[in-house]
Amino acid sequence: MSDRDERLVGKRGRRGDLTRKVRGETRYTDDIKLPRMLHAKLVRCPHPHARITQVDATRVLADPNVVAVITGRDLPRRFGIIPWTPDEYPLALETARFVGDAVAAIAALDERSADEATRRLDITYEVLPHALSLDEAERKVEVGLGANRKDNVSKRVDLSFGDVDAALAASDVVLEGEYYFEGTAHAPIETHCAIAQYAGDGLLTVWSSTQVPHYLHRELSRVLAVSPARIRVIQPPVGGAFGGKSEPFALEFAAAKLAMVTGRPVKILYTREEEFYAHRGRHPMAMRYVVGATKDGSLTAVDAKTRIDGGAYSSFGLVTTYYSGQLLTLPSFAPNYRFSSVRYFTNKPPCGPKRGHGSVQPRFAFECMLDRIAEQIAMDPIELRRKNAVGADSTVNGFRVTSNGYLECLARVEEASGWKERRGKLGRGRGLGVASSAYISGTNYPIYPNEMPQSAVQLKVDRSGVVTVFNGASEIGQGTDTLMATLVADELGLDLGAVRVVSADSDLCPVDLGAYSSRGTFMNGNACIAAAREIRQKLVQAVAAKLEVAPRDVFVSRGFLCAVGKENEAVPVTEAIVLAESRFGTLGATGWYKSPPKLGGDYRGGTIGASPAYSFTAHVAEVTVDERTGVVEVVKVWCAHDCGKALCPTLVDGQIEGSVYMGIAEALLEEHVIDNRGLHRGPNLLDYRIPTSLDVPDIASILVESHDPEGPHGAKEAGEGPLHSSIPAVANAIYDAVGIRLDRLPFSPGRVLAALRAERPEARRTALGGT
Amino acid sequence: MLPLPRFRMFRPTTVAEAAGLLRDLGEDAQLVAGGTDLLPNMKHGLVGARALVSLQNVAALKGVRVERQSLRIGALTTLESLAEDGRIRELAPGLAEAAEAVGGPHHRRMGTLGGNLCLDTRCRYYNQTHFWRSALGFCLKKDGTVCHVVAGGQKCVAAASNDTAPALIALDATISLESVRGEREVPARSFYTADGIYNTTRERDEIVTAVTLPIVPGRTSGFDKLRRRNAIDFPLLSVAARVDRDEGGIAALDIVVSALAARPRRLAAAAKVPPGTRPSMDLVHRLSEAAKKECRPLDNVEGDAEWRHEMVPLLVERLSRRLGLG
Amino acid sequence: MTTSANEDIGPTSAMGSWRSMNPKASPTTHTLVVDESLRDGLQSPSVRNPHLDEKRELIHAMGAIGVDVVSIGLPAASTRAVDDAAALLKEISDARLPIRATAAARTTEADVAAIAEVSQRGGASVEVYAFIGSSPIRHYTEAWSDDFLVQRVAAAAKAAERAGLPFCLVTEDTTRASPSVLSRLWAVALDSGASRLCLCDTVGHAEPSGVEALVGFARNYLDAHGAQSVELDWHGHEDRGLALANALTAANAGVERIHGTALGVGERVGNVAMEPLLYNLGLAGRRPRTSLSALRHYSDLAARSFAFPISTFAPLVGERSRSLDEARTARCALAQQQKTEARATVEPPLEEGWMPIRLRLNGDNIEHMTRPSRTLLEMLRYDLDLVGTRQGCDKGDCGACTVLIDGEPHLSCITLAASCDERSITTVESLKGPPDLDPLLDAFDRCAAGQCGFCTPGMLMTATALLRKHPRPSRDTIKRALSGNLCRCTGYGAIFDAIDLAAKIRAGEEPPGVGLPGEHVPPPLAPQQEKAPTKEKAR
Repeated sequence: MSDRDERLVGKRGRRGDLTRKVRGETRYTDDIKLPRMLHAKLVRCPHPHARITQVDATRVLADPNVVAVITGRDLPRRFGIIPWTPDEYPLALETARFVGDAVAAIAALDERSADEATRRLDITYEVLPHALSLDEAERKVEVGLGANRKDNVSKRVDLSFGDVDAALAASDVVLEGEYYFEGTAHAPIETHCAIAQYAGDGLLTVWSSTQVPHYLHRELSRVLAVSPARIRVIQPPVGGAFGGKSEPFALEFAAAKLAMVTGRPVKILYTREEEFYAHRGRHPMAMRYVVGATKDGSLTAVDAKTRIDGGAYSSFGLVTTYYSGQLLTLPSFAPNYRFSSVRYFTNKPPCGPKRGHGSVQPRFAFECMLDRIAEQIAMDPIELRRKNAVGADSTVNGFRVTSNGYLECLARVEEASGWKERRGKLGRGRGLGVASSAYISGTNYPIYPNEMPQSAVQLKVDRSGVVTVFNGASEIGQGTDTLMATLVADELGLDLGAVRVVSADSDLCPVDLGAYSSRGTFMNGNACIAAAREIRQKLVQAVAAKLEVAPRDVFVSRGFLCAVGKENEAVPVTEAIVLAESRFGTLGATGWYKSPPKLGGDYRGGTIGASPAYSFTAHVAEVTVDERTGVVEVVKVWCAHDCGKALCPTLVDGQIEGSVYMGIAEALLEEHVIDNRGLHRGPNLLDYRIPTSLDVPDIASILVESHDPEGPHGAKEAGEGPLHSSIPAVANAIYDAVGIRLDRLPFSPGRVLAALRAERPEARRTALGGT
Repeated sequence: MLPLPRFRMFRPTTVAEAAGLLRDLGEDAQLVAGGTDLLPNMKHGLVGARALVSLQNVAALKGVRVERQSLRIGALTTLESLAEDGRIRELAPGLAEAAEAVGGPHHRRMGTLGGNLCLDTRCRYYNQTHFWRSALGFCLKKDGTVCHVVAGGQKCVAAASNDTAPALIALDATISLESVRGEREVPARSFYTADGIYNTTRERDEIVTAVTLPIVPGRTSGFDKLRRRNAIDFPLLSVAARVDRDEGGIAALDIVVSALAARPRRLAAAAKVPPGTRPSMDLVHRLSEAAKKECRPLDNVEGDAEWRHEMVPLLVERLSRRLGLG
Repeated sequence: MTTSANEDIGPTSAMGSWRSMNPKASPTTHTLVVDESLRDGLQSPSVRNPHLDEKRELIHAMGAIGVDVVSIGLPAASTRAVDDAAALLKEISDARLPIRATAAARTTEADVAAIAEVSQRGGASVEVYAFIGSSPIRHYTEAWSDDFLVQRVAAAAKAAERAGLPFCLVTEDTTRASPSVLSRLWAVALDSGASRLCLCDTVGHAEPSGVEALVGFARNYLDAHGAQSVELDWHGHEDRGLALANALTAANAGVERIHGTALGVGERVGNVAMEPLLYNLGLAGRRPRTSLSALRHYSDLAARSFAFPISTFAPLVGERSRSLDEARTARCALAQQQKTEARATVEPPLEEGWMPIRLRLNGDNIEHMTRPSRTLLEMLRYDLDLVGTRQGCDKGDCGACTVLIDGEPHLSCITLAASCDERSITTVESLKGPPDLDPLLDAFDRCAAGQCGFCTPGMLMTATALLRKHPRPSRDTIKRALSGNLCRCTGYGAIFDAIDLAAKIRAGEEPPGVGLPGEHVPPPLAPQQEKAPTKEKAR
């Protein structure tokens, strides 16, 4: 596609796939109905930590509606998303490690019979000592949740760059801060669902609402001891995930095993409560930061100590622990850095990756510290960030930066929010706060070491003019299907109506590692362009031959291929396809993306945090604080995000607004709390509050394009980056409004009032009705 | 999916027919109108009804009538129509505001006044699935013997969470009940009891048929609700107030605070305000400080009890000033 | 057996109950229970003195099983005893546990002073339990004269009174003391302000009939001295295996407080075990019943804290009793096994019957049979395969299941299918597709007002009803109308824009179908040409 105006890329187009999804024409997993399908439910442990001594299914099997019961002994093989920490069983084998941990599964003719049966399975537990907080995990080593059973440590990371102590000593100002980021949940509107069918020919097919069909395929083979060649994994459209479906779960293994045992299709649909037990949400983190700077605003050193509450299993924990330190060294940072992070096991639902995996919590703490440093040396917080912007092409911990639109992001939000005219001048109770961040466009290295491509696409070109894009990418609402269609349509001059996208089906599509770490656009986009260019070459040669011109003189436009100077003899694309098929035979192509080798620092753990490209973000939040009720309201958020190139601007805006919504929700409302009995305080959407349409700020999303040299048409991620600094922006805005530094999330009215009282004694009078 | 237990269903078309069914079906029967409170509770295994008697087709329970001295509201009137009915907005603004504050728009469209009046009390340890409650060891209100709000407590302190209750009490409403044994009128003031397990004086076989509000010249009323979101949430705290004025100043005053324990609490300080008192900020502060002493929110609903306690005087002050007391 | 706590071990009431002598007499007095685990319990040589945190956990467990009074130790024993007692007292008040605290002392002013210090540091009142040997053997060995005893009791009682603490005289070995000695000790105690007397079977000497006699004597003594308000405690030991029997007898005889310890830990063979004591008092109706699971949690905690293994045959909490429960359940199951052979299901589920309903569903008149307990959402999705309506929470919290009933948005997950008889139901499948695409479908796709698309059907139905009522709704009206429909992907902004755009498309102010694909697709294949009649002759 040569001339600009005809390209789809960069223009505000439609989603294209929404109408079929909403009218039930495209089926989500729970919409699938197979003949003789059974419904299964998981039986869960009511204790925070217990050994399973006996399971008696007599009463359950007495009910004719019940067809089969399986327990941990039927699936006695460990698994885990991170190959080095496989510590989960599909159904607890010996010990259950949190209230809600799955211990058995019951298949019945209908869902109510299965549900009733879960209350008749007689399980004897021996209650074991438990740890339900970071402090208890540290102190009560006898609980023995760690791999060595001698403590509760999941992962420990200590890294240091430069000479922190010397730099701090030489600093004019050194500030300390303690922060606590409460755990939160993904709460997608669609709960987990899986269906398994063990067909007559012995082929096991599993439909699942998952973000990682490829990893699920591998773990199903490992745990069920079935050849991967005899397993097919299909991922229907997913009703939201945000990181909560990015590893294999109990329901997928249980449905598969029950299908193999009964010879009938089996469906398991999690209730909303079970969604909170599956969890893998934001890790609660207790953080201590020491930041030094000179009086002219140069950051000298950062020293961080972080304790992470990992919950019952490892999940992504090893990576989370690294990310809690490694992903902070952009966009503004100091030349000396030391962090020590320890992840503990606790008897709570396991934490994992939630949008902005592992780096949202430290970002909150660090950006608040920057605000305090700026105030201490009487410097504008935006200036402080500009002054310390990491300009070099590599960070202090060895990560390569190929494109960086950070300074433009800062300038755009500064200007859009009227920062200079309004900050500190809005009168008591109203304030502006700034914060910034950076994020990875996919992890550079696959989760299991291999030399194969990370993403791949296969194109099938049909003489009717239809091109089908078979790709492994997981469509979870972020819009990869639309992106694929747009890139192929532009490359081959097709109308979007002539492009089909078939994704995430292990029989039909080449492998993509999955929708996590914001890798979709960067890696699948490149694979898609590579494949499309192969086909384009053949069409150009076929048309060049017909028009008797040199191939380099042929260009592609919307629906046609033309030659320079012979615009009137345009060849419709379909005709070009027929010509090319006649000349070269049936058309098809594969394209793939392999991330660059040897990225990241040359030290142990130096690859974790390495990414082919980094996005940049700046937020300004405007808040009001009612000093009598303690209620914080976020009035408006300006978010400038450097996404390299907005391939589908409508979708990028959607990702920015969705990220800011989720950030504000974590700043003000959401808290995933387990009480001192090990029970979740409110495992439903009434008690676990996510904002309604009446609780959201106006959001101004500002697209910044820094054209990454390796990104597809220059594009980088936008799925997770725009969340991070929305939270500290709110914290800093609250300080501007009423002069209190809140260091514990969420900023509930009770906490705001307590901080106001501590800060200004006379505030007590106004807050309490002026008596 | 949270499956409902099995039950038989009856759809009478007259109050008498419904009352007869309640008598015949005995312990097993449960009334249902909008279902927005009953069905979620049945899905949580909190109500073991084996028969539902739906009042949906009992026309006599519908309609709002303005009589000479009173406003008669049928029990089946939806909360949405209460919020939008001009007569109620004018003659009983406190009730209209309370109805408008309930849950989300769909709950207000489905939920009825009679249903909201008899809303089950709520508690963090009660409104949970059977699994959750079994892991807890159950509680006094259902299947257990121990209260977890007040450790070892022997009296259920689940919170009255219906927004219309404090409004009707403040507005001096009367609740009409009918059963096979005949009809009776109960003032809203004595309709609620302090027992969190069953917090109304309605007998099991009685049907709330209507609510009657006296029309009093010079009467204004209002309602305010504290919650973390602006929709869907149950109250963390609610306050309703009624002010009768005559030329001498305040003739009568009633302020009711709810979402504490099982019974909405009428502020003694408000009732004691002598007729003829002049509105003043001092009066407002006295009332709000008295409210803080009289009302102690518990850790029963999902919200910071200390903050709710601090908000008691503020809610009372803001509503009092809105009604011209200060 | 932790899932359903089966209360009755004995013969079920239906088969007649010989549990108590006078089953009919409903007990008047509500018997309180004193937990002595952290005082008498710690005096047993085979018990470890738990860490303070473990003692705190125990206090909470005691609260959870309904213990009314807790002895927080013998402060005079050591500085640690004082610190621990003060910390426990503070824990009780901080956690707002409805537990009263007592502490033990010898009848010396120093011991009472130690309790006063604990009370001051812990910020709450502590009842002084001062003990003194009252049996002749003790007097003989200690060479105590009666006067010495009287003077010691008076001194201790006065010290307690000065410190403003309630005073209870604990006469050790009461069951082997002479009535005259007891009378003299009680007299001086009452004169010095004692509010309570504790009768002790310190060496497990008494039998139930003896207990009745002793309690009777003490009650008469108090009546005779006009001290009806003074209450009695019973503290018995297990030496002859009669501790529980004696305790229940004392309760029946009207003693207000009965002492016990977790797992019966205590001097020599130990005290009355708290678990059977609470359980039996519950069965006898003397106090609310405590669930087996709570009792077992309490005993497990105590076993760990005191490093005192639960004996296999300990009633209710021992391994035998727990496995007995399982066996009994299994036996029930096996019994049921036989029973179910005869009958198809576990317990016969209620026969709901079927209900015919007539609906106008998306414009079609249909008739359908449904179960009363079937929700509208389940009927639509699983019976009629209209899967466009989605389930997000299944209890009315999220709005994903919104459909229109008679044109108004309703939550179909908490609407009974049977209640839709004679009503019109509209679901997302009714929104027209091409060629005249519904403006809402058009606008939502154009503005990406749905990303994952899971909440979108509910949004679309709410918006459909909204636009019918308000053809050009303001942004605030849109926000309020949608406030019952939760979305996790978009942040709602694109949804407000899409509804506004749809309103404009409907009003003709905005062109429909902008950017819909298909403009540059290849044309339809040309129709087959009519073959001109060929010259060949028709064969």
